[in-house]
Amino acid sequence: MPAKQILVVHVPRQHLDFVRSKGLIPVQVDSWRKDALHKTPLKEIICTSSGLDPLRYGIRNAYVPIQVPSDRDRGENLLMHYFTSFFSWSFHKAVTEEGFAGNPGVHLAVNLMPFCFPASVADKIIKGLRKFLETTEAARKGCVHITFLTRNSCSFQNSQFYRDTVSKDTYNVKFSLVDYRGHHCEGMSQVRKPIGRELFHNMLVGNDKWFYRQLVYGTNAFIGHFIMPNSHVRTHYDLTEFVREDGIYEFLYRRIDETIGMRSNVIVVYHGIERVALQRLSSQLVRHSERFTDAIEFQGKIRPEDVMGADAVLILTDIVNTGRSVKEVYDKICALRESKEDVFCYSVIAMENSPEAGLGMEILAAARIQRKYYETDKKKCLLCQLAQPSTEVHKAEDFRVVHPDQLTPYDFWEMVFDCRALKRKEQEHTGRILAYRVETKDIIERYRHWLKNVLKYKLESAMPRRVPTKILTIREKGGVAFSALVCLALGLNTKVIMPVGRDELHRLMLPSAQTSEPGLLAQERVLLVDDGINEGNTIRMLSNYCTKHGADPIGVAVLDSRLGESELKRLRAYMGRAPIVYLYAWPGKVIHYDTLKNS
Amino acid sequence: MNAQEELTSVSGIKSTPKVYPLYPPVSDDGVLALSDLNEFCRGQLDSLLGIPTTTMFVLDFSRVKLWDISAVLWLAIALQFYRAEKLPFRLRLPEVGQDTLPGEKIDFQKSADFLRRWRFDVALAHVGELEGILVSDQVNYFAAGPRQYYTDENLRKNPEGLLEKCLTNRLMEIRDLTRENTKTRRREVSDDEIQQTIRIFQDAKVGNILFNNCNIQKDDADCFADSLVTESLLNMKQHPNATTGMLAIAVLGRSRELILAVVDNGDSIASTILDTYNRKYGTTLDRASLPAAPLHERAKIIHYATQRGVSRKPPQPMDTDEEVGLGLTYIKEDAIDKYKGKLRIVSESVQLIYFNSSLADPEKKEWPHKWKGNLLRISIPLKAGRY
Repeated sequence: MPAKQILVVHVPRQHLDFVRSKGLIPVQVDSWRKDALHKTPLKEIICTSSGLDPLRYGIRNAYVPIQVPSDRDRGENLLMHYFTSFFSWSFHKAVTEEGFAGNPGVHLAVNLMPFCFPASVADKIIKGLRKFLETTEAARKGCVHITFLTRNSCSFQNSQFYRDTVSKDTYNVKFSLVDYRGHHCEGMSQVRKPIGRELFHNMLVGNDKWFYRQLVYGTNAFIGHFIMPNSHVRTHYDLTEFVREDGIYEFLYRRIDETIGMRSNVIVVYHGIERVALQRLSSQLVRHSERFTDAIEFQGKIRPEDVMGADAVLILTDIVNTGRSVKEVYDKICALRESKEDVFCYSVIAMENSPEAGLGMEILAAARIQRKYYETDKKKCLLCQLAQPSTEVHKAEDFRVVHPDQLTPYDFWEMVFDCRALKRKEQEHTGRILAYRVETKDIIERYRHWLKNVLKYKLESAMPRRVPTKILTIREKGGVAFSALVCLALGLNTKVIMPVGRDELHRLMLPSAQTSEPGLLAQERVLLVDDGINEGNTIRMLSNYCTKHGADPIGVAVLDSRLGESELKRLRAYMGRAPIVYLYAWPGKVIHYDTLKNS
Repeated sequence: MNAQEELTSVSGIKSTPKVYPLYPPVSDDGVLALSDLNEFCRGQLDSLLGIPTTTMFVLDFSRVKLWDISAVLWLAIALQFYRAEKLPFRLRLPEVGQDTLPGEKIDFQKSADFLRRWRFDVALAHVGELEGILVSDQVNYFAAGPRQYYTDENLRKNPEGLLEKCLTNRLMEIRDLTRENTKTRRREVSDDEIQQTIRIFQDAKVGNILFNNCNIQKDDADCFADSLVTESLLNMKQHPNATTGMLAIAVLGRSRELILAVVDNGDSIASTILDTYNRKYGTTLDRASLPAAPLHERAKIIHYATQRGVSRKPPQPMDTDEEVGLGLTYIKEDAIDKYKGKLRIVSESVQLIYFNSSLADPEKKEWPHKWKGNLLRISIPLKAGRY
């Protein structure tokens, strides 16, 4: 272990409400993965900003376990008092803990990156620090170096108290600021030096499994029957959104770097239907590394002067199905260069049955997804044989089209199969046992991005311009999960979800039942949501709850419905003809296990 | 509800309803600015207060083609006051009708679109039910009206320019920053709402939007959300007794300005700073007599609140002599020195306009308003960008 330690101190989670009420507003630190701050590069960043040798320093993290001051104790300037205690505890920890004792100085890094705060709040933090420094002789004697890790260093640089404190000799403290946007500055200096991007790239890079999960479970997806020039495909991932996520570029860069080896003067030629994503990736490569000299788009032809002078050419593409379109680019480039050496093909995604080699070239891919593409010959395409509604794709936007017939039986049952969601003879929350039922929670979790698109389309078609202000659902896993999906689809905050227990719903069904808040929903546009309709009882109870609290529901949204047309009509009539939106309708009615057993 | 019932429910007087329209002054090109609103309130509405009447006043804004967003927010605070004072009124908002001249059709469609897109109904919710505020033929004004121009749906795929980028990121909406406190049952400025608003601005990467579209330096552009918006929101929390607090931004293409407006109906800046001011200058002004104080005195108190090293908070026994909390100072410095813009403060019936230099004295004007509250209007010039 290195002889010297830097102590990184964090505001504990339990204090978030307090600091928020005083102006330190917690915001998502979206460019830092959760565990990034605990990784080694942070040490390098702090050392860079403090002028320390990273090899001689170790790093430790601590959440400051102090008491939050109460209004009664300290009057108005509570944040200042909080930070006085915060620094006091941190300093004490730094000088007494093993690894810190005997050091010539104390190095504290205060992690304020999860907060957005203006200069007036920075004033209070510094005031708290000054109060501690003024009352603690040890602090004044010891050489203390404090690094503030911030989202925007301007908050401190604009702060009058920070500037005063840094410029005074009274305090034997050195200050530096690290900015989330990738630069640092020391003391009073307004000059910000860049922190090498490599550190950030190293922090963000993930492994193959992580990349795959981000793609399949964390990216907006479209499922259907897409007709491409050379193939038919079932699934499309929104790469434009995907490549913007943290760590994706860093992962791809590392893989591409491995592919091209030590070569320099590399030209990137990008080609694919996800033009925006490819353009972004290519320009990032050029900006990131001097080895990539230029990025150009292949639009059917390529100029000799673009690729002839380069030492190597990287053909970057989005998704490889048959590989024929990449092959066309490859052949044209090879013809111009008169050599196939130093021409590389790299794809973000490849299908399970896409060729890796065999077309006279090697196509490397960052992830190979477990889905197949189909040939354009209808006899060889499963989707054509199943008469799945199709969409011709000419540009990336075409993938975003939701077909009115979706979810088709194939869509629905494929999801059920994938998630192993079909359950037999299992008792439900209601106590009944159905011969077959579908556990929706896993489906919603796994397919949420696609279902969101379908749901949005269906809701907007059924209830144009009627955005709910409350989503009433049953307090059960499936209902709440599907409600969250409705929120995602409609761009609503999940705070609008109002889960109600089954007991309460049952109680209110009694004719004599009264509610303590009859006007609770009077001003709201209420959408009733559950994961599925089996017999319609839950929806009836939700509707009754809604009416008894002063509102008529504007509609119902469920994943699947097992009601026939006449039953749906009756249910609609019960709710004042509010529309019922379901993504899939079962062909048959619910069968109770008892009925099946008796028959 | 018919006109008779409408009138009874508002004024509590049962008599034959008479409808009397009141027209706010607007400039020749149809702009409703803060000064026009001032003239309207002072010249027409204030004189009607306290007079028992059977007349329903229709505040007819149907000729407004362009709205200053700060005037829209301040109007909501004003209406809240007039409603509390039992002035019977309804609003008529711009709409294209059969008698609209063909040349003006687009202007009025845009004007109506603006109010819908900026969610003026959110601001009006602080005044009362929409059914009781709008004239009967416009009760569905916000629910049913088309959004043709200021809509994000059409732009989402390929937004261009500052306005479209802001629209697609849902930044162009009036944000209500208050919520009912479950303990006290009173509305108050809520930490949750402030956090939510800041998150929206952060998520939208408004710094990048300004940088890419307005030729504002990257660092300065980042400060817009991190510093200016956050400081303005936190400043609102300093005004005691605020039950309404709103923020909105808008782009004024005509004057090439980005406007950030923040209003609340809490105690005035002058009243919250008064104790500190009295100590500093040895005066003995009290809050009750503030409205009667001369213009220069009220302006001086508010100007004092924007000085460095001044806090509204009373000193605590444990504090040192230096006070902390320079919110208004930083807002002023950012708006004027960093963005070369203007800061306008309306509070305690005074309007202070800061421009050119944050060290210079402001321009002072009377802006009489009978209601409590504060308005901050920050305008940032957009020099050479795409709007």
